[in-house]
Amino acid sequence: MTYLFWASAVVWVGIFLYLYGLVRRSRALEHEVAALRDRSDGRSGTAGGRSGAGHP
Amino acid sequence: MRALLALIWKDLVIEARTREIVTAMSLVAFLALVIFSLALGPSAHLVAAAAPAAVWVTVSFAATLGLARAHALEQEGQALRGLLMTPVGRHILYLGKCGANLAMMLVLQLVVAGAAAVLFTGAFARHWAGLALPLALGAVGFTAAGTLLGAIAAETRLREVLLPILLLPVVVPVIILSLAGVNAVLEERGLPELLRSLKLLGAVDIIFVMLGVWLFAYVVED
Amino acid sequence: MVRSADVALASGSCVAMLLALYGAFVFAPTERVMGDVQRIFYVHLPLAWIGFVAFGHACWAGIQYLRTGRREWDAVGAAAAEIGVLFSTLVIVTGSLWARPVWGTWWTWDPQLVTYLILWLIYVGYLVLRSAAGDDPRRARFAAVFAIVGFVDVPLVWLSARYLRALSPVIFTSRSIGLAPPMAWALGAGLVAWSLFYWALFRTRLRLGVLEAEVAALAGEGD
Repeated sequence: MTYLFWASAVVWVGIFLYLYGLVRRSRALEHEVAALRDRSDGRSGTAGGRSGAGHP
Repeated sequence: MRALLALIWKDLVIEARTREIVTAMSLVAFLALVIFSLALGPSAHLVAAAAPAAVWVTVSFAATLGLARAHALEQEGQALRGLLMTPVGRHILYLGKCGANLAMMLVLQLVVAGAAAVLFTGAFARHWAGLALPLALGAVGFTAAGTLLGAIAAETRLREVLLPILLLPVVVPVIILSLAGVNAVLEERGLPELLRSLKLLGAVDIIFVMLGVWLFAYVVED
Repeated sequence: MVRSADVALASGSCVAMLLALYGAFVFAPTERVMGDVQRIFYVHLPLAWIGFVAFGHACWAGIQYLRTGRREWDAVGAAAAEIGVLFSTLVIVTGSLWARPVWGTWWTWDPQLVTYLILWLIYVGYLVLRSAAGDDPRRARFAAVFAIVGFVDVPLVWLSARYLRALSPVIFTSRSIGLAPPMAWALGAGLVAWSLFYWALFRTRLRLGVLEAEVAALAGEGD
């Protein structure tokens, strides 16, 4: 039955799309975490460990 | 108890002075009702059958508007902040807002039911006593959920637009059961059936009020 | 940073899913009345049950968040609700695709479908609320409250829909299916497989939530 096929197709395609979306968001967040970490490391390195507004 | 009555009175007095929310709500509902009756066409039978549905649809949307407006007003005036600083219990605050919102919604229902009696079917006028109960109990459940969710929606980026999205699905059991009661009255199916739907509706109302009393404190804390 | 427990979970759910597929398409006999289309049921019902459990999961996380104030519970709630929306969407679609050949209509006011539609609307609303609510801790509080309200509402919706059906049996159709033992086994396999799959999916999504919290914390620090 074509309905059976489409139902199965929708289920698996849907799950696959969601997983794909999860993986993409995960990668983006991991990049962001790394970037933020570098930024804060760099800031604490040059400013001698002080945080907050200071000389650029 | 006195604090509760004072709170309800305060909101009602504010509303009575400006009559802003109730007027706007009633006008919106009336307009929607007119459009409904136009859209349904000349068939008197169809119009009569659709009357309860039209009433609840217009009341739902107008009441949601009104609730959102009421919460927005409170936010604008920073009234909530002031109230939170008083030693009044959060559940009293919730019940107070509920009471005031309920009063406004009951007025709205009166206006809409009256308009429906003219525009849709005279049965609304004939059975007005029986109709009062399912409609009023429906209003109780609606405002109980609406006061809690309205407090949430008012504090978000989307503000008033979010409230229908949150409230209307939640309030579906109330609408279904109230409509069942209204239909039982209009189709003269007898008291036992009306009482059955009212009992269920009352139970749902109690659950919503209890949820509101419990959760309102968490919504307004900062 | 994938732990061996997660790998075991993922492979376990794959194996279970294969077994369930076999059960649904090969092992279970063809249903007398509806024919092969009925096999959708072996996916539709487990998804429906797990979808409901996912929202219970989100509600539980909400209660725990309000009780303890710990961020992790908010991440749990968000993950459970998101997967729940995914599963509910699939439930509605498969239910529709099942209804069409069997009853000739894409939609029917069956209490289960009505409840599922409202359930779906509530938790899509939950996701909209999360995106509109700004930042923690307010967002977490609002989400927790709404998850609780939404979940308590679901049985109420179901009961009122059933009350409506009892009033006018002419409109509604019944979905009862006689379950022969092999069918029950296939159904059981499906339940196990989809439960494992939910758990694996949930843990993946939860990791994402933890990452998001980390980003928020780091971004806050850096200013």
